[in-house]
Amino acid sequence: MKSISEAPPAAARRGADPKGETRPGLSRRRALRRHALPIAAIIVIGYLVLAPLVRLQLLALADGGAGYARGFGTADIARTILTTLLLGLGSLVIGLVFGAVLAWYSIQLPPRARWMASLPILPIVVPPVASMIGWGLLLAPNSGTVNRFIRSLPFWTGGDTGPIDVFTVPWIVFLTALGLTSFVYVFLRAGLLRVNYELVEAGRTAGDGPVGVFFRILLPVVRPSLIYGGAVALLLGLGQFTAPLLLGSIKNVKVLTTEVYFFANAGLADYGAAAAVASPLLLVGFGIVALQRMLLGEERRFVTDGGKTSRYSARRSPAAVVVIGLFSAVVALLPLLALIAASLSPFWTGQIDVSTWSLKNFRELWDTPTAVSAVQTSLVASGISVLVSLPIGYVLADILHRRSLDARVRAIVDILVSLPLGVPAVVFGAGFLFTYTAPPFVLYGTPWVLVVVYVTLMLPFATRMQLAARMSLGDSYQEAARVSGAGPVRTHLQVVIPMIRGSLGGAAALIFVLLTHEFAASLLVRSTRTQVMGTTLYDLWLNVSYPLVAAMGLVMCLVTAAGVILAVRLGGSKALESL
Amino acid sequence: MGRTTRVGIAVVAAALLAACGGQAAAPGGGGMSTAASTWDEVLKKASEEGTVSLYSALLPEVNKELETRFEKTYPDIDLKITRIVGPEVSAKLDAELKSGSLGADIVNHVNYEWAKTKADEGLFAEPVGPNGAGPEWKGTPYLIDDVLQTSALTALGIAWNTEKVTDPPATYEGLVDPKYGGGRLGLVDNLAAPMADLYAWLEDTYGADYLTKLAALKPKFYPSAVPLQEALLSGEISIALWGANSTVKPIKASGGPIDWLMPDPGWAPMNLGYMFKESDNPNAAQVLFDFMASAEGQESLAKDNLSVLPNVAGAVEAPKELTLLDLTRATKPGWLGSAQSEWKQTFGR
Repeated sequence: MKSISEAPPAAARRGADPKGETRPGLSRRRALRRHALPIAAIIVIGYLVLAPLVRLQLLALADGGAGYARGFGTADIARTILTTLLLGLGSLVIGLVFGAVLAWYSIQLPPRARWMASLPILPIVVPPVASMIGWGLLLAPNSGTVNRFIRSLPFWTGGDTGPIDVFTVPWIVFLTALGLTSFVYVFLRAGLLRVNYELVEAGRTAGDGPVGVFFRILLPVVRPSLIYGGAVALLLGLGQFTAPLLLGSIKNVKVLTTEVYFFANAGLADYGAAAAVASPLLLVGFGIVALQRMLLGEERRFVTDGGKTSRYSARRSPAAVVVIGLFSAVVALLPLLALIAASLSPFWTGQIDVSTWSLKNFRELWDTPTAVSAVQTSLVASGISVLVSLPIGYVLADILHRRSLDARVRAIVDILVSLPLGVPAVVFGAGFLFTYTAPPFVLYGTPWVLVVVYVTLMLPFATRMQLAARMSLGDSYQEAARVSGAGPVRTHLQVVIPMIRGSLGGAAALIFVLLTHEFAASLLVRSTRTQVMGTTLYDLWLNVSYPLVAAMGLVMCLVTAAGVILAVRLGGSKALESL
Repeated sequence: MGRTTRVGIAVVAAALLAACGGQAAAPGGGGMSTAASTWDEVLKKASEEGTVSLYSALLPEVNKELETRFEKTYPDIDLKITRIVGPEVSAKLDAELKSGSLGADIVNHVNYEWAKTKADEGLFAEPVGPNGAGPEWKGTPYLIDDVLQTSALTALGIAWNTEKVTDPPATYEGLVDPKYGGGRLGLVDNLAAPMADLYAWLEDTYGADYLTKLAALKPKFYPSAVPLQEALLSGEISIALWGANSTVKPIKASGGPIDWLMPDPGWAPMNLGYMFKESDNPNAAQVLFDFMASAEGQESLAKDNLSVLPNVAGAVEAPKELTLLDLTRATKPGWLGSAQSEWKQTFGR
């Protein structure tokens, strides 16, 4: 295996030899010095990402694999795996179709309606835990408001239940897909904006119909976006936890992530079994990360979302306004409206009676110390995590961006950075709980465990978004600064960072939004003293009432919205585009 | 142990000592390590500590009542209650003990096997207060191993949506009726020992095929009493097993379409209270433990609930035939896992 100390000959030639050392010795030292930061980064993020997973696996494999025997010894494990696959693949297919349709229409929006292109990402801004509870209120088979409405229609001839049953696999798949659609949309829209319109016209002139243009021109160009977006959607679908936990458990819908949670939270916590049932998800996650690297190759080939000006000019379509408006209204607004109605009601009966509405639940929430402190903890932990994630992401993006570094070092950093996307948050949560309750780093019970978990989970986002910005910026400004005599630190502080300010704001916004929503990992690592909004909402669901849960869900939405607005103000208008 | 009685809770509770094998005091269970030796000093130090943290599985309304009355009696001590349902409490306590970040001074829960194990390991403090260590408790079945206080009995029964059900059954047997099929019946998920014991008792009482008949009704499952009650209120389910009087009553009073009854024969789980020797506020924990054993404390815990001690004002009248949770079974290593596994097969979960 080639050693990283084998520096390029040119580097050795440039080196002076004041102490009469041999050139190979000098070049080795220089190469080591150049690689000191990347190697330190590998050690730090390697510990963050791998330690929880490795420790869990060692536990599962102890006593001749007893954890595996317990984890896979349950009678219905086959059904659980099958449901997980259905959820992952089903939501991927639906998400891809919806995402592609929306992305396609988004580039056909009339000029005055271009602002609507931001609407399909609204579901990302609504916390999944709040949105799933909203859907539960709307689509529960007997009491759901939408079902009641359908049954009240004159043509309804069915019974007194349904027609929609939100507690079953098909509807959980569908609702999961709606959330994934936004992710697919973001990636595909970025891909479509890079399509050269002249190529499309050339294809048409050469006799290609719409199908030919799609397969011969559009698809190859958006392939990286499609693969990346599809892979992200598949991983999110397979690792889906919130919907199966809140909706599926009512009707026996179990997936691997809920099994991980129940094993880790059993009366006598069984981390070995939890690690064992997480293994298929880890294998798929690692596989997808590896496959993605193989298919897309060098990162600079697929991180091109920061393209400057689109050369694409699609035909305008009024239908685009209708399709995007309808999707956004249904997917983002409908559950929010359900939460508003429930939060204002004294108790939720599925029927909306405005005469009973009041702000009592919000007052009660305000008087609940744990809820108020959860909002504070969420804000502080998310805020600190953003502040920690951005510099780490910046350094990692710089390592990935520096072609002078050994390719293997960059590959290792790239894989480590990508892994948190391949590992479901609940699995990380179990690993972190097990790892940080014991030496050398005993963090459980403090807010720092949340920060460590959050920073680890956000590594891919913090790094990729900044890397995209660096790719888009190119090297010329950096080289000009160096030629003008600026050192590396000054170049980064006074040239690079100000020029990617918008992307930094976007990254901060995205990380903040994702962290204030975070539920699955937080549920495991929280202690009674360190609750965040998502876990408090879950506790309210278990312990108090739907109306108070709805009020908390709305507070989460407001906090998130405030975070996005703040990031946009700090990062400029580009922050929203980056988000 | 004979688990069923027709003469009241006290007699049944008397069997608890035998159920737990009439254990000797836990090794090392010699009382507080840092607390004062006399009660007056305990009270003084508790006031200085100024706060006490309780992890509770008691229902929200009972917690509220306990907090209000305790803080009225001891205005210098802020009672902070964290309600944790299901088995999560044991995982949390284990993590806290392992990491040295114990958040609870005192616990009132249903994690019997965990509590019994830790009591045997000598983790808990013995009460030193006039009530908690008084004649009504010490040396009686209510204070197991001198450290586990059977401080509360939850009044669980059948709850129903009054707009959907007008003639609720008076017994659990009556729930096995096709009219409650198709998702109209709500059950509590078998996540912890009380649920497992209830399902075992139902089988013992109504025959081995009782659960199979329930399963045939295609019930819906909820993780605890509160989501079950919310589903009832919304009309998502019409009737439920594991309805709790203390939470149903205030909703009913505010006009919610919901009602409750305790079937006869009935069944009830007890909560075990215990204090950690090594906690942040050991004196305040002693004061709360003592309060829960006092007449006023028992009144707060028994409001719209069953009572442990006899003649407690505000308590629900127990049915003629009431069975308490079988603590011998619930603390037997391995029983819970195997009972849950069988139950899951019956209900296809």
